[in-house]
Parts: sequence; C-alpha cells; structure tokens
Amino acid sequence: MMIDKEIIENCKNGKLNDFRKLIEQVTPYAFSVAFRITGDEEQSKDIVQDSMITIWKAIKKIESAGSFNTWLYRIVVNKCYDHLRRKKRNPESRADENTWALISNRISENPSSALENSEISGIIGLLTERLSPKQKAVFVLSEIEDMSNEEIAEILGISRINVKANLHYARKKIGEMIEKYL
Amino acid sequence: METGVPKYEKVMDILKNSKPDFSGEKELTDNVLRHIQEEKSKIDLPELIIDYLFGWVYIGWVRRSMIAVTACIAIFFCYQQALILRRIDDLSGQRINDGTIIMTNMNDDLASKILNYRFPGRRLTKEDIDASKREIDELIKSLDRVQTKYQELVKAIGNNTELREYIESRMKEKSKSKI
Repeated sequence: MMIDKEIIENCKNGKLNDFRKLIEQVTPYAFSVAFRITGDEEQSKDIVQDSMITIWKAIKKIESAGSFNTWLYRIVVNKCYDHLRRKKRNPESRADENTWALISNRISENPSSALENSEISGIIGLLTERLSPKQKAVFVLSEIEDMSNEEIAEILGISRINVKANLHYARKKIGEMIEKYL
Repeated sequence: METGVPKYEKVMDILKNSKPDFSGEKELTDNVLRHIQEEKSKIDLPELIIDYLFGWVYIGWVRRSMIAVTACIAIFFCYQQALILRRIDDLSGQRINDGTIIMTNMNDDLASKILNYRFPGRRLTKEDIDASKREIDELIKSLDRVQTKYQELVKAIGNNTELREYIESRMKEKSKSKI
C-alpha cells in the first residue's frame, strides 16, 4: 500500500477532501486485514469505519508519513482484538464438516479460483478457532497478508522473537488440524 | 497420500488468492466524513483550550527538545546541589576569627573546646575590663587551683610508669603532647 505523503500532510492540516482520498486508498487494505482476522463482514466494516475516525482524530500525532501504514494497521488490529475479546464471551458454533469439505474441494478441484467472503470467513474461522487473538493476528498478517516479521512486530507492538514464536505455534496448530481433517 | 505441509501451503495459497470482496466502500467513506463533520460542528470548549495549550506535544521536535531541556535542568540541579553540599562541608570545617574568639566546628575533642574560648593574643586595655576586683581575685584563685591540680596529676603520673605509658599512648592517639 503506497500512500502519497502529500495527502497525509494535507490530512494533518485538516483538509477533508484529501482525507476522502486517503480513505478510498486505505479502506480495502484495512478491510482485508479486519475481515481476515474477525471473519465477520459487517463487524469488519464497522472496525474500518471506527479506525478511519480514530485516524482523523489522531493524524496530527504521526511524525512521518512513512510510518502511516504501520500506524493504520495497528489501529485496525487493536480494534479487531476488541471485537475478538467480545466475541470470545459469546462464541458461535461453526459448521466444521461443511467447511472442511469446502477446503478439500477447493484443493482438489479449483485451487486458483477466489473464495467468497463467507467461505473465507468460514475457513479462517475454522483454522484459527484454537488460537489466541494475538496468534490469530500474527497468522493472518504473516501467512495471508504476506507481511514481514519486522512489520508485524511494529504493528502489534511486540518483539520479532515473539512474532516468530506466535507464528510457529499458529502454524503448528493449523498444520495439525489440516493433517487431521483433510 | 499428501502430507500436512503441502496441504497447508495449498490452503494458504487459496486464502492468499482470495481477497475479501469489499462492498459499500462509498457508503463507508460518506459515513466517516459525515461523522467527522458532525464532530467538527460541535464546539467542545475544554478540548479547544487543551489543544491550544498542549497542542505542541504533537510536534515531535518540540517534544524531544522539551525532554532534552528537562534532562539538562535536572542534571544542572543535581550538580548544583552537590556543589552546595560540598561548600557547606568545607565551611563547617573552617575556623572563624572575629578578633576576639576563634570558632571551630563543635566536636568532642577537648582541645577544640578549649580553643573556642581562647583569646588570640590580644592585649586588653583597662577600659576593656569590666569585671570587679573580687571577680578577678576569684579567677586567679581558680587558676591557681587548676595549676595545683595539674601539678599533682603530673606528680602522680611520674610515680606510676604503667599509668604514664597509658596516658602517653592515649596522647599519641590524639596527637597531643599536653592537655
């Protein structure tokens, strides 16, 4: 995601038109991360909307435009954490067998075609249901969003070693599940 | 039969290739901007005052400069305190001669206590003496008594070598030859 530095500087000076441009540029990325972490489309839209309002309120605090991406993802991930914590109190039951069948079908028949939102949500939800919110965030950012360990460490505010440890655990758990059910 | 790792990679590839479909982008943008404009129209006086007074904290170089200045002031304060304490210590060890008496810092040393009341070789004139003749006589008598007792003490020490050695060793400890 490449954001024009001038747009960020103009947003810092309170120009709403530039903020509109910024929203249009960053929301698909923010939504992608939020949706892949939470697995809930409507909640992800709310998270992105809240994140954009938070960004507008605090954009003056950004010291350099270069750190904007990290800052944006940090806000989004923190809001996802809040959502996951609330959700943990009211866990939903999942249709495990159907989802495993769907994954199996995709692997064997049409691995290159894109999944629908509900399918992505079902698969990620199933794979990460035994992970903590932090492990889930590390897994999504690293394995699906293809971010480096350095970027993830900055976004989550943890050390690179911690990122590696969380990723190792997440891969192991998910690998075990895939081996068992597919 | 495939192992867990290739299957894992295949699943990850499927997820990577499937970007979530983000519908309602315009609606979301409008909602955010409407919310911001509503907030703008509300004049929050305390927030305005706080922003006006402390808005500079958002400026990185100002914040860093303030931290540096604060650190410098703290270091200077500590240095100054150390200097003051050292000077007080020096002064407390010095003797003050005001022409009549010599003052030193008070301690348990007997010689120092005597020195506190010793005249520094100043010759007194008749006008300076306001004591009566009777008081001066009493002073001379008491001096005589002290002298007699001192002589008796010296004599007693002279007959007792053990006591002499003990007193001499104590004198050496205090670096004094005579009380």
